[in-house]
Amino acid sequence: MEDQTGIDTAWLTGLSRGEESAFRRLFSQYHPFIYSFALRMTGSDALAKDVVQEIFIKLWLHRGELPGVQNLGGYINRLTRNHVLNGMKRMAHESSLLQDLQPQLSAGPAPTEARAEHRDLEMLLDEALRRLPGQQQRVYRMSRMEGLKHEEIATALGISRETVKKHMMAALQAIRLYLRQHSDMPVAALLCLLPLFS
Amino acid sequence: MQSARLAYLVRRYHDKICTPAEEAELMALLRSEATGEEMDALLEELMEEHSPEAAMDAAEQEAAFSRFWSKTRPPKLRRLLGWSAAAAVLALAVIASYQLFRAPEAVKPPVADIAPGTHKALLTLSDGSTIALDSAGNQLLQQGAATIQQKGGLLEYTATAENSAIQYNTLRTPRGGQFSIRLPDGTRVWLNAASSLRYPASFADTREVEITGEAYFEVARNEQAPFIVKMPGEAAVEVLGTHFNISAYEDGGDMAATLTEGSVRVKRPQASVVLKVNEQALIGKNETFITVNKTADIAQVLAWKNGVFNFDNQSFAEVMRQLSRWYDVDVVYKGAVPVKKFGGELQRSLSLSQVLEVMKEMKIDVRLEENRKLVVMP
Repeated sequence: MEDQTGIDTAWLTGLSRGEESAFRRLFSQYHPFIYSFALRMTGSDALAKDVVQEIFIKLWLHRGELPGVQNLGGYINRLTRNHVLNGMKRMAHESSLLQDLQPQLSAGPAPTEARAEHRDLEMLLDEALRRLPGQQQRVYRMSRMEGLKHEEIATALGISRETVKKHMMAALQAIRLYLRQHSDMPVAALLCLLPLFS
Repeated sequence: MQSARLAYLVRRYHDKICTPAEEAELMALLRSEATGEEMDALLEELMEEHSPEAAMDAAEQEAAFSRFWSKTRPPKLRRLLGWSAAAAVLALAVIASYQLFRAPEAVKPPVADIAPGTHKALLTLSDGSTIALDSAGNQLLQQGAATIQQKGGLLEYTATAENSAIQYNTLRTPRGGQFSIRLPDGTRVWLNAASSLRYPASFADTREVEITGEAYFEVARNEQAPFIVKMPGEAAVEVLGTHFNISAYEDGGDMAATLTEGSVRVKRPQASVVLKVNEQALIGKNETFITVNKTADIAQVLAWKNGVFNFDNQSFAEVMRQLSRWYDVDVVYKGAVPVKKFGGELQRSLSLSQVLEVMKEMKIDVRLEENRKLVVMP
């Protein structure tokens, strides 16, 4: 997202004039990332779409100022952070509404059950971590278990901030893949399918 | 203290490793806390780490753009559109009442069922001419130095002479079609629906083919001439002689190469890995590296070739894409794409209505409408 290559004045002028082709380019360049990030942080396709929509509407409303913006990517990043945070708050409120509507579901699993589930998840996560290459593992642990910032990890390990970021991306991807393969979520769906066509 | 806990939970939420209890705690904190600068810095870091995975396909993206763009149009134009919409509704109402009074028997007929895919493909020869192939066909063709024999759903190439100019042929399956081919070196390739294979009618020193969509390869061993399969996005698989599956649909998620026998090298411009048996290389469209999945679900990867759908752990969108390709239907979402994971297997020989019957059991409301539209209700 911070990549500034390919931002030319003709494009910015096109944006400020509200030309469709210029906005199409803006959309194709930033939409996939914003949508994906918003989806991850709000856990809802509808909320993520709202967030994306709001951001682009805002860019449209402020199109006249875009040519004067020093760093378009940074500007869009800031918009994204603000709107994703709003989306997360909305998600939090909606989840409480849902709980009010369905009190029988909001009770959640029994405490022992929840603890067991928690233990399972931690074990899976630990296993996933063990499979990571050393440096990735170290970076992940520093960030997620010790709560260090990228900057602090970089200094501690004597590597660049950029490298920290790359390690984190790779680690997250590997962990997600591992968890996806080892969690047993769709079993219920499987049971309801099999009797019909076995 | 409070904000450290919030940061911890937000990170876990981003990594998708929150337990239900932690998620509930996070929701409560988000509701109560005035999230300030720290949250902003945290999101900044998470954005840096984030690699997009749930990319929309081209059609969804286009729809999103239209939604946005329509909001930016001046009100005058929108009023005009409003009028034309009103006119259209009126016209529909007129037609509907006309139909109602004219023909009481004109109840909308049920949409005909759709049969599963069959053996069919289109062969394009080097001169650009095309030949439609189906399972009933048996024919003999000559292409430069090669003889081509069609036996039902299989196309067989035999090299008859050597050292002639290389002529490229392309075998293309439509949606609702699959086909298989034996290349002049003895390599067998099975093509799934909506896929294509471009290959030389006779091989020289190197064996190079190009693929889109999905195919399973059984490459005939030849140490002297490596076999190279090129995929979209400058990715490629290089082998001497092995069995593997490649899935490289433009509208799908990650491209994947899965090895079932021997060994292969998978490459893209900035990365290269060697796969062992039962490993899978995932080639994400928005990244430059290759992820190796050491515990690939081989049964699932090869399901299509064995005549079944295997929906274990597949996303809703992926399941619908597979149905769209095999039954040649367009999927239309009336609401958001449902967040639902699937499981289980279904025979690919079922008719579409039988598949929909099963989905109904799973409380998924999908309707077949006219013009081969599969409508997913919210």
